Amino acid sequence: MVQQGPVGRKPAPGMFRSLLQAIVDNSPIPQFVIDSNHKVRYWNRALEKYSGIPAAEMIGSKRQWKAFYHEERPTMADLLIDGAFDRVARLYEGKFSQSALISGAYVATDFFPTLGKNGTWLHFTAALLRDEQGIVIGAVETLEDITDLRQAEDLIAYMTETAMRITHPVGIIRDNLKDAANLARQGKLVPGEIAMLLDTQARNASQIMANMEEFQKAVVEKHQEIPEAYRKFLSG
Amino acid sequence: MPLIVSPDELAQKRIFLILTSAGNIRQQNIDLIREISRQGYHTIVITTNFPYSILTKLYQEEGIDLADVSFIDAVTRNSIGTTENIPGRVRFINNPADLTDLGIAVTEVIRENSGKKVCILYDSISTMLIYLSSPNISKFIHFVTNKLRLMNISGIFLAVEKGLDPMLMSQLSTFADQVIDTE
Repeated sequence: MVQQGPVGRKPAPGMFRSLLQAIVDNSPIPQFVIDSNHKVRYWNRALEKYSGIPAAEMIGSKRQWKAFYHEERPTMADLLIDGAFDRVARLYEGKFSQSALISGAYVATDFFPTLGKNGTWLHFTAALLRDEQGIVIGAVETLEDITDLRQAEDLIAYMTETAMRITHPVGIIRDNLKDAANLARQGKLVPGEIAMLLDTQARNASQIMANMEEFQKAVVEKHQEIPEAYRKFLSG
Repeated sequence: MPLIVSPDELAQKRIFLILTSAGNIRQQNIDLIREISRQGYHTIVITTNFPYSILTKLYQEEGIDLADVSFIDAVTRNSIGTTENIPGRVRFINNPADLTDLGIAVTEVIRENSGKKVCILYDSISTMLIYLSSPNISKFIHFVTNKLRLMNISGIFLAVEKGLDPMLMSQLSTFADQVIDTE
């Protein structure tokens, strides 16, 4: 049974601040909060772990960019604070949209080559924080690592292309062989012509095999996390 | 037997994408040549499917006058090696994937037949999938259809229905003036 605290009691001063700190800190989703002067106010534990930069180094600074970029540039949260929506469009061209859930919030998906061993795909959301009067007091940005998802999507795309480049061409070879057999049965082809048609289909089959080898190589190169047993099979 | 392609639209130098079943594609090729020849066209057959020597034999058996047809053959050399071109009749391409050679051949054979009523018959887009990725096929067909439009020539592209990936199919449909599903 969930224990509930006393209700109806006036909260102690600073209680909300502590509560907010606890919520942000204990969130499993990496996130940071900046104030209206772009200074980092919260840098939660998940983001500490994810970026390798401790909160103590970030709180009070304007170095939030360091977790994501090689050189200083605004994060999405910074751009929202400045109302620089044209720069959002420029810096995240083709990668951003307005959030369907939160009015005025923006979401984007981008690849960060400096994050992680082989770079990281992040899906991130930035939203403005307003006080009771509606005045902007800061912005929050949450991050989701979707690298695995992107790799899985890539893999599916590879597999689909592979399937298409096997099933359809194999069908062509089958139909051409049937056609050649019919023509031969009808006496319309001399042995040399039959041989030429068979050679053509053998060449088509060789090309399909070469295509498959190329695909397998590409899959193995691109997806290092493929289990060793499958890797051996795909590498031939 | 109803015509596959309307003579009026052919006269308007339209570009057609004809979808047929795998089992019927060779017969469709023959029927189209016969139909187009009767309308006074000289057909340039680009074949990636059946070798020139066998196609000519089949055309002759069907009573098609070979004087009305010339070929760009991307099959024979790939299967049996060296074969000499026959000027005015056939030009061989080493490999269906060699789009540069294929593009040059299309331009030159069209030029050889300038002054005639010419129609291109491309047989088939489906076979190209063995040798090229869908995006490369799409780019090449776009190149050929642009050339045909610039030179005011009609073109017919054959493909096996249900064989093409939906993305390629939708792109090809935009290059063609009309998609005819014969099944």
